[in-house]
Amino acid sequence: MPEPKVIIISSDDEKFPVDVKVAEKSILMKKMIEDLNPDGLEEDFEIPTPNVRSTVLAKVIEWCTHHKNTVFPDDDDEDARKSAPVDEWDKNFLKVDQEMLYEIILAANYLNIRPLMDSGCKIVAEMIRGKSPEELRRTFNIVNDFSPEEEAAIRRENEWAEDR
Amino acid sequence: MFYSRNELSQFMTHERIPASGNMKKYQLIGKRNAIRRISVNSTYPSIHFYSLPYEILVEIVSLLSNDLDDLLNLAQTCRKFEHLVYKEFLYKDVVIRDHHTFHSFAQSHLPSHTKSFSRKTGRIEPSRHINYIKTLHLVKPPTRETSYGKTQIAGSYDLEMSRSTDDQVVYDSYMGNLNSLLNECFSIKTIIISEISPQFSFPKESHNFITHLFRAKAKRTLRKLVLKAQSGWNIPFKINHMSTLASIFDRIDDLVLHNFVIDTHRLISPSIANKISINKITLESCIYSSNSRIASYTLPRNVDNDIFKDVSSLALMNIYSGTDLSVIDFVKKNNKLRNLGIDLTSPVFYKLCKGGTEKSFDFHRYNPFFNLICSGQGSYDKIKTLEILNFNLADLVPWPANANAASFDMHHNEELNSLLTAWSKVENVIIVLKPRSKKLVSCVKCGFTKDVTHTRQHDKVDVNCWFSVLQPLFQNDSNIRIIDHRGELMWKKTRSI
Repeated sequence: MPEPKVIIISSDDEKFPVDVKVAEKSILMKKMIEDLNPDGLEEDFEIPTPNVRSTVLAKVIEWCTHHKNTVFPDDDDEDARKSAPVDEWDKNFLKVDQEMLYEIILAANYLNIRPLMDSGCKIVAEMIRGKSPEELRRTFNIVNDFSPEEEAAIRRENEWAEDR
Repeated sequence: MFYSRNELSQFMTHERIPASGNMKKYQLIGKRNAIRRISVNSTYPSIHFYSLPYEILVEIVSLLSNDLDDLLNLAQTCRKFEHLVYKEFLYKDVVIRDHHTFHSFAQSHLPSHTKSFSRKTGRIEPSRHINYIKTLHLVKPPTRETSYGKTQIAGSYDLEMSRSTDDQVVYDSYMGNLNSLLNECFSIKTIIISEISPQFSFPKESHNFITHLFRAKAKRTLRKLVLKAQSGWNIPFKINHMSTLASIFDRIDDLVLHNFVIDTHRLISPSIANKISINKITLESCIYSSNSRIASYTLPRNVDNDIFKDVSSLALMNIYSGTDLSVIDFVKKNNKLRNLGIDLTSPVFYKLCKGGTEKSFDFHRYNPFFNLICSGQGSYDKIKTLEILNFNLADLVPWPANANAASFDMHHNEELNSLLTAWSKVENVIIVLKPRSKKLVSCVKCGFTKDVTHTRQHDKVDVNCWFSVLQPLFQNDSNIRIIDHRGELMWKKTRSI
C-alpha cells in the first residue's frame, strides 16, 4: 500500500501531493497533521492554503523537498539564525524577481517555515546594504515623501547615534 | 478626513477650531502624528517591499541593525521607513556612552533645560522620537567635581583620583540632560546604568527648583532599573545612586544591582526626600556588609530603611560568601518580603571534593540554611514563594554519563532528599532550570561560528519524569512549577484544596 500523501491546495485550487516529511517543514502543516491525525496519517490528507498562489506554492514545495533532511538551527536561537550565512542553493533558488521573492517570504511566514523566511529576509537585507537613499528608492520603487530639509534633518538629528 | 500639509501646519501652530468646536489646541498637537500618517497616500501594490507586513519589515531591517549608515539610508527613503527605523532600532534602546554623545542627543531632541519657562509656553518642544525610547542605557556616567578626591572602596581601600576642572560642567550638563529626558520621555521602561565608578552619585537635590516647586509629581513606574558597578569593583550602594530617579519615578518594579556592597549603615543613615517604592530587588555578585560594630552602637536593632521598605521579592544571584546570605534578614525587616529567589549555581553552595578539583554541593552546610528559610516559622513566616534559580540536577548529584532522569535513583541520595524536603515546606516552589552552556566551534578559514552544543541527558528529561525525580518535594503539598530559563512552563503541580 502506498504511503499516504499530504495534498496541499493553493489559492487557485491547484493540488500538490507531497510526502509527510516535506509538508512537515511547515510548522503550520505539521501541527495540523498532528492535531487532526493523532494516530498518524492513514490516508491522503488535504490542506488548503488560501493565501498562497500555485506558482509560489510550487517554489515553496521545491524548497521543502530540497531541505527535507536538513537540520536547521533552533528557532529560539535568534543569534545563530541571524548569523548563519544563506546557503548557496538557497541563494540560487531565491534569484527571482522581487514580487516572487516577497510572495515566497509571505508564504513562508504564513506556513511558518522559519528557515525559508530567514533566507528570504537575508536576501532582501543584502539588497538594502550599502545603498544610498536614492539607490534604495530606485531598487524598491519607493516614492520620496520627504521635503529636502526633512531628509537632511535625518542625518543631522542622528549624529549622536554614530557612537552607539 | 484628509488634510493638506498647509492645513496641518495651521492646526499645529494656531488655535484653529475644527467642526466639533470643543477640541483644544493641545489635543490637536497630540493628534499631529496620527493625522500625518493618514495623509500619506499609499499607492503601492499589495506585493511590494513597502507593503510587506510590519513584522516582516522589522525582521529584514534587524539584519542591518549593526550598520548605522544602512539604517539611516533606509530611514531617508520615505516616512514609513523613517518611522520603522526610529521606532524599532535607533530609538528603542538608546545607549549613551559618554557625555559628548548625550550632549549631541540632547541638542537634537531635548528642550534646553535652561529655558524651561519658554518650553512651558510651547516655543521649544522635545522631539517626537524620544517617545520611542524603551530602554535607556547610560555607560560610565560622569562624576561630580573635586579636583583631588579620595574615595574609600567597600570601607577598606583608599583610592586617590585626580580630575580636570571641567568635570563639574560636564556633570551638571549630563545631569541636566538626564533630568530633561526623563521628564519628557514617558515611554521608558528600563534604565541601565553601567560602569558606575566609585565616585558616582546623582545630585542630592533636583536641579530645577521652580519645576520642582510648581509641578506636581506624576505617578510614574519604572519597570526595571539595572545598576552595574565598574568592572573589577564592588562599590557601596548609596541612596544617591537613585536620587534623581526617585524624584521622577514613584515606583521601581525591579531593581537589579551588580557588584555592589549592601552596607546597612549607609542605607539606613541618610534618607531621600522623594520616597520611592521598590517591588523587587535582584542582587547579582553583591556583598553584604552589616557593619555590625557600628550598627550595634548607633542604630536601633529593628530600624526600618526607606529604600527597601516595600520590597516583596528578593533574588540573590552569584553569591560568594555565607555572610552575603544575611541580606535576607536585612530585607525581611520590612515585614513585606514574600518571595525569595536563590541562585543555586552560586559558588557559596559548593565545596572542593577531597583531594580533587571537582566541586560538590555542600549539603552539610546549606541544608540547615534552606531548612531555616523555608521553615515558615518565626520571622520567616511571611515567605510564601521560593524560587530556585539555575537549577541543574547534575550540579547537585553525580550524574552518570549514561543515566537519564527516569532511571536515576533518588532514594540513595539522602542529603538531596533532605534539601528537597526543606524546599517543600514553602507554599509555592518555582524551579527555574539552568540554561545549557553553549559550545561553539569556529572555522579557521572563514571565522564562521557554529553552535555544536549537544543536549545532555538531563536536558531531555520528559516532563512526566519530573514527578519521579523530585518526589521528596511533594511531601508538603506545595504548588510546584518547573520552568525553563526562557520562562516557559515545563511542568506544574497545584496543591490540593
